[in-house]
Amino acid sequence: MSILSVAFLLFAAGLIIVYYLVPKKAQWFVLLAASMFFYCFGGWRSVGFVVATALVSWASALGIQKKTDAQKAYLKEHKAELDKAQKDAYKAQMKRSRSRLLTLCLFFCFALLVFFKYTRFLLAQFGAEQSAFGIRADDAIRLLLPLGISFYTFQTVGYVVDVYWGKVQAERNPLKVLLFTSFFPQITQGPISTWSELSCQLFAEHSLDYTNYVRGAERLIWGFFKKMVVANIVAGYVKDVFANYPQYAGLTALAGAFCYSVQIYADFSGYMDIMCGLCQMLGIRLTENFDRPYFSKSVAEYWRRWHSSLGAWFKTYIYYPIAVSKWNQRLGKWAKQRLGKAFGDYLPATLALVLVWFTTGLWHGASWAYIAWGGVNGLFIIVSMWMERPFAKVKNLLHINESAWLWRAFQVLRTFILVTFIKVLPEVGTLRQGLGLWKRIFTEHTIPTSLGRLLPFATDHAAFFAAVFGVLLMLVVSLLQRKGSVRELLERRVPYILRLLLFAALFFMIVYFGVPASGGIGGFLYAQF
Amino acid sequence: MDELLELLKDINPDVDYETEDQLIDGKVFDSFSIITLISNISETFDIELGPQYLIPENFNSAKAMWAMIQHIQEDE
Amino acid sequence: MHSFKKILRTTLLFLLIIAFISVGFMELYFRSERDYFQDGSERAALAGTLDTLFLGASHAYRAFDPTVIDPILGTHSYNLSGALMSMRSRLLLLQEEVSRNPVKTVVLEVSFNTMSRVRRKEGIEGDLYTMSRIDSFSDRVGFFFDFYYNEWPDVYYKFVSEGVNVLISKLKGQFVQNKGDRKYGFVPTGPGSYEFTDDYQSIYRSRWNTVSDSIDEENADCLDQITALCKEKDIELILVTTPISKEFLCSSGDFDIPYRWYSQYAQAHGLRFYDLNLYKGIETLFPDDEMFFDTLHLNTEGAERFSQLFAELEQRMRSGEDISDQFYDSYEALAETWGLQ
Repeated sequence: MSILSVAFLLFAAGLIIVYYLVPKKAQWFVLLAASMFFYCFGGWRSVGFVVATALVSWASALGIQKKTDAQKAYLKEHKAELDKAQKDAYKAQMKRSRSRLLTLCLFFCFALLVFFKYTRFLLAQFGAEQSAFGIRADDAIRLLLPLGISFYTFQTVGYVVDVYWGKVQAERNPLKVLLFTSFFPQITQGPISTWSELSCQLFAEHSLDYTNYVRGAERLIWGFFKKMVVANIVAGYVKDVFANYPQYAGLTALAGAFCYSVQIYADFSGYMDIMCGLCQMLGIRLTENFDRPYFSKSVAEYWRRWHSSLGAWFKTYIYYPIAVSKWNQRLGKWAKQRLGKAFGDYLPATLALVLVWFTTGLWHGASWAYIAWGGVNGLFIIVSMWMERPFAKVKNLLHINESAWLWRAFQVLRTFILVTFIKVLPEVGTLRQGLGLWKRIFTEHTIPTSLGRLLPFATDHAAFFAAVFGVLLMLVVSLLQRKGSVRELLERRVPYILRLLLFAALFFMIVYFGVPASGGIGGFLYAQF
Repeated sequence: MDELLELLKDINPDVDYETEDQLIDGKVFDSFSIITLISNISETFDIELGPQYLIPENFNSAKAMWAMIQHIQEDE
Repeated sequence: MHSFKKILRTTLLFLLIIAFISVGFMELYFRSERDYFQDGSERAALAGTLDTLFLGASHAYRAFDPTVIDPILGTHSYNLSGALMSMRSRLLLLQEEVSRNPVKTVVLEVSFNTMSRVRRKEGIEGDLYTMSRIDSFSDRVGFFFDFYYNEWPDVYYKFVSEGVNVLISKLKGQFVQNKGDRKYGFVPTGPGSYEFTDDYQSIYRSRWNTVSDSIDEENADCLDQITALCKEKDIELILVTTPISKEFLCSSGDFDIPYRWYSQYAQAHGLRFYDLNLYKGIETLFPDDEMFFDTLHLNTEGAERFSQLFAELEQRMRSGEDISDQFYDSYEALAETWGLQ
């Protein structure tokens, strides 16, 4: 179901009404029904995969939990009789048994993910022709591509691993696990939540609350504004530049790159606002994914503020486990002896980061361009990690005041430019095309003589002004957010009727500017995951 | 507890671990210091620091770390 | 429950504000009469004077010129037709005009697909034009809700955005009413630049049948209502098929299907019906490249000449003359004269 449709609005309205009419104990069931409906709306054929993943995960988690409980009970019962060696042997045996179960579950879930997302890429690497595999088979894969497989696989796997680690208790009810896996606000573009964050929200009882309802609705409208007016208008510019950069001035190509940064932020965070807003109207707090990322002062910080739930997932389930694993620690010790303290400290973390960024790149897309993109991000983060201590010395020497606003502004600008360049690399097309755009920006030096020449893609002046207005509005809102909630500020400062009129104005801007912009471009950017 | 304090001083000798309780949230330890600390703790105390313990609450102060270590040791 | 009341109040208030502003924008567009097909106020001003109405889709819209026909027939006519106008819209506009005018004659244009076109498949465009012409607020509201449910968002967007456009142009001081060359509802097309062929032989050889023989129920129902309304008000209803290009006639078929249907209908209801495509010599009078804008519509000169021909034929028929021998009795017969295989 496309979010940008009357059908979705009707769905949301219907959901809210039914949700608050049913007995509170049944509310999560309504969410499950809605999620299944949402999933099947575009085509029911692939729903089997998300159900299978949920059921396999439910069963595996339960199995692991049973073994954990059995182990605890056994050890408690036989505490006195067994010596340490016997206890250790028993624990090791149980651990192996749990690991087997976990491995099977991970294998199943990731096999599906790899099959649907990476088959073509893998075959291409091994030189196998598409046609050998069968064009029809390829089409079938694409046709069946389960909605949100990248998101729900990670989210569900996180749950099973959390049970394995003893962080959470396994859930007995398979339908609850199914809801956790397929919860519709998160299925197309995240956020990726942990079981402990989300389950308490989903399965609690929610009463109608005026503040949640109104603030949720305000956020919903704001999300539509960002998505339909800002993102979709600017998307046209980006598409134009990506297609035509070989004919454009370097500055125009640069403008296009900045437009991409604007577009993807407005698009992705707009979607988040719509879903978080809707969830707030239902009394559910969804994990946040964005924290005004373009105000970050470093690439590392940026990745804590952009799509932060994905970053958190990688940190929890890949980075830390790899970094503190025994073999990595041993490697660190060896490096400390042979290569010095610095290497000893940084090597395990570096290796973990390399793996994290390789997989992050791959998660975003099945191509070398995305792997390169991941690699570039990783490189910046690893280098800044290694350089942190030397840099601190340099800054001291130059008497740079870290808290001076000029320095912070410099950091923010520098990070924004860096992040824009990195972001744009895999989006133009192939890796070569991405590099081509970079080259164009740096080597083509004609200065356009007018605004029209600088931005040849902004042919519709009204739409252009709307987009600029939207970006400025987003900037103002972001600046205000540093001090606190903007919606709360509106409630305190702006009279009731004026607030209604304000959001009505946003509504009409969405209708007048957003609808035509969304006709051609449509759909959210992250939705092909 | 003294062993723990020694480990901590090894990583960053300038901090007063008796009173400091914002070691993680206050960014006193950076991310790879934490990793070094974790490996040292698990080796010194012969415990397995599973990922479920890698939360800020357990590492914000020396006291919290010590409580965590004891908890793990008891469990085993 | 206190929360519930507050939520209800805020939701309703918000929706009310949206509705109010939306209607405001739409009304701004409707009342501005910015576009050439918006003739509501002109028709209202002529109320009480009209005795002849031309009613059809774009074929008639571009063919019947009251300023040419009225001097010949001594009538006061108005061309109610519109682009893509459905049978239902024809009935609605007819009802409105009949209620406020001393109408004596209604000329209903019927073409090869008038009865077979399906509104649901064709979409909203024709009805958008109709809605833009309705000159009463309550009628407009009613018409809006007559669209199919899934069309409401598109119609809503269309008229709200046009309203905003009108507002913006007024604020800029650039608002202009474009009446086109509208004359009593008739709008000429202009000269046209379609490249007609004269290789009728090869067109005829590769012809395919575009004419459907299935009558859409709603169209038939509306036709019955038009017939009944005219009978009730003692109005003479005439069914007329306007000329289309020879190129189109050669490339498609089978036009006898609708022709026979209309003939039977006319006979059953005691109506006059004639098809100008079957008028002997029409090809010489209306050569494709001189008289047509495109394969289906007359150009400006063609409309003038057609209006003249129509008026003259009507004059003769009204004086009692039987001119049926001036027409072929079927498209088959017409095709035979072309000598094509």
